[in-house]
Amino acid sequence: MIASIVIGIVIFGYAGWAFIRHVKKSKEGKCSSCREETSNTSSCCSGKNN
Amino acid sequence: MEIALLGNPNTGKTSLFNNLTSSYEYVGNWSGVTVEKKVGLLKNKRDKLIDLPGIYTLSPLSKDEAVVSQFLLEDHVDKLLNILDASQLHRNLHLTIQILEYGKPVDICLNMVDVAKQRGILIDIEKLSSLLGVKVTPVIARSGKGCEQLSATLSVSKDKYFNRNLVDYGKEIKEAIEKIQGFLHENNSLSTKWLTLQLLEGNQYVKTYLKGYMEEEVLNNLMDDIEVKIKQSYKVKSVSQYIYRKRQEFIDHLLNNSVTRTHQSNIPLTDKIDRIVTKRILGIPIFLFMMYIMFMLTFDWLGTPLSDLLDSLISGPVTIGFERLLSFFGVSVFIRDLIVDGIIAGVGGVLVFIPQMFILFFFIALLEDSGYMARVALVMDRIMDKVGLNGKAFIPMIIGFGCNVPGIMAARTIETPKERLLTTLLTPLMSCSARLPIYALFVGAFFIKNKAIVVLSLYVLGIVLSLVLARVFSKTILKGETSLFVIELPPYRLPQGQALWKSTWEKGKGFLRKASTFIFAGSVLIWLLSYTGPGGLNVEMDKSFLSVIGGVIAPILAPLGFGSWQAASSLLTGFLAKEAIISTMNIIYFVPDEATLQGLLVSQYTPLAAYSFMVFILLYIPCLATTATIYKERGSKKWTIFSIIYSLTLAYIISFLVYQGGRMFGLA
Repeated sequence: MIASIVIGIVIFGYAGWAFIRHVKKSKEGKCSSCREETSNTSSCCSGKNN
Repeated sequence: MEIALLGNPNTGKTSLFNNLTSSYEYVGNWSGVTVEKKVGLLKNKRDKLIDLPGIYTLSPLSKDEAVVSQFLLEDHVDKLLNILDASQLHRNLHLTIQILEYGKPVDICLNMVDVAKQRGILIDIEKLSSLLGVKVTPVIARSGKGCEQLSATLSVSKDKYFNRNLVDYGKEIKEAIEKIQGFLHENNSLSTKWLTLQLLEGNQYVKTYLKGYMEEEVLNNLMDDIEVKIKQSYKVKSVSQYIYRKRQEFIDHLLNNSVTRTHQSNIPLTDKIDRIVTKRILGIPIFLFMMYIMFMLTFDWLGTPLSDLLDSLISGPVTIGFERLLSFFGVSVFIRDLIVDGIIAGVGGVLVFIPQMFILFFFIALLEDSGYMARVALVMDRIMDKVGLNGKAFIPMIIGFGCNVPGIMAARTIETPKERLLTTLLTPLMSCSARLPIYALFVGAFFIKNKAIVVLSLYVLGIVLSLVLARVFSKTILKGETSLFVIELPPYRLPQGQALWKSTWEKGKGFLRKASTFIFAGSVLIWLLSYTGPGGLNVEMDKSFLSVIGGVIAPILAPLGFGSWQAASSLLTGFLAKEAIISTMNIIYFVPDEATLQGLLVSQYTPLAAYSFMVFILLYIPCLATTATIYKERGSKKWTIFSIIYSLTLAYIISFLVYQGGRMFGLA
């Protein structure tokens, strides 16, 4: 029973953290598989040049 | 100390950056790999190296080029490292002169000395160094030869030689420098000569900077005055042409004194290959053939057998091992189901496609490193031109085959705002690597004999639709000027094993990272939604929350051939990351391995419905990261929402046409 509770907490805790992190990073324009990220430089340029 | 790395496009800046620092950045054999500045720590762990986008001149045309001007005007830098392609000195030195005029200590790194030697170009390094007045170090950045010596040179804070008056621009320019000097006060730390020359060459960023010191009218009058004087005295069309000519004279003098040509080489191999691959009729068929070979390797010859092996490993020993371990700990049925039916099924279902992903990444690396990428852009230019874009826009699209996020970022290299926006909107139609496992699953179930052709048809469909839409958008909502297409064709080179492996591994590693983080989390969530329902815990799958959510959308998808709640709910998860579609299916269909899932799919879909489903996945929506990138790059909510709506509409229409049209022709 204790093992079930511990494993459950670890899995749901990690999954919750990974899920929120993925959504947060994606919203920042970062793809979790290719490490690419739109930097602040670009967002400031886009405003000026468009 | 902060050192900025500057050079022409495709001179090996990123290779050098990777060699001098401990970081790994994306390398490719075409112009425009670096679209923003990247900072790395030199191996001495003290100094920073800043990699900047490649430019021919400091006066910017496109957004990535503007990064350099902005950096030089606004950021602090202690030293500049200028990288030159030894086989293209004549052209590269124009930028060198501008960098030397900037007034900060400069080191020069002469790259590709091996290529120059092969072409019969012998460079007297000592002589070149003394004529330029800076330290010149020869290197071969791809193999790392000479990089240690360069590192040692860089660490010396000031260069010994200091000769900044290399080019005599004449008395008119001298007077202009003095006039501008009168307006600048001590807050300005930049070289007046550099500012004046950049202003006269038309650098808008420098003009904006100078407006902080003097009235715009005064500035314009000064520029007009010089223009008139120079045109009268030297019979040139513009001041920038005059400055270019003066620099050219100096470069000719420099090269006459430091470079000797031992022999005139025969037609280089590069030109011989280009005569075939860039031919009007052969260009596109060759490109399609290369893609066909890539998919044959991915799905038939190599990828699928390896994938099957991995599948039997995960569904066999791995699952059994976990089950034994769980029963040893005596865990509850709930936890057992969560791990076996949720995590192992969801994450394992995606992991089995690792071999296919690695083969695709290897081919993309090969395409990038060999120099073929630039040729594809050239070949496509003829078609792109007819639809309101030019060949340059095809480069972001090819990068999009790997991942749409860097593809959209690469659109910064495109000069006009209209073309840039158009490329940003259309790049998500390129089938990214995350969509590949879904195709692999479906072609393995429905199109066993024609796997490569079916997947190729999806990639081609993405390209064709992007061309059609480019035409439609540029004639309707996005009218505007079209830029001229100029592309530098880099020489072909035999990709080095290490570089290919590094690039493949970096991309593959990202896929593994995603599987262990988001796919893991997504699998837990999906399993939970399938395990619970309005009736409580451990409900029948058909009565779960997942089926309730999917059931709402399913009727809308029915005319497309896949109106089940299972298809609908997997498509919903695909917005977060396309790979999640596979995890969802594995969990929903509750199967132990890929082969069983494929067997089950055959009973749920017809081949026509399966193709329609793949078409829908290709087009239906950019993933969350891509959507956010579109917003960040364009800074417009309107265009971001537009990109989602148009792709959903397009996916629906095309899938409808495929399914209903196919049925009309008697397909099933």
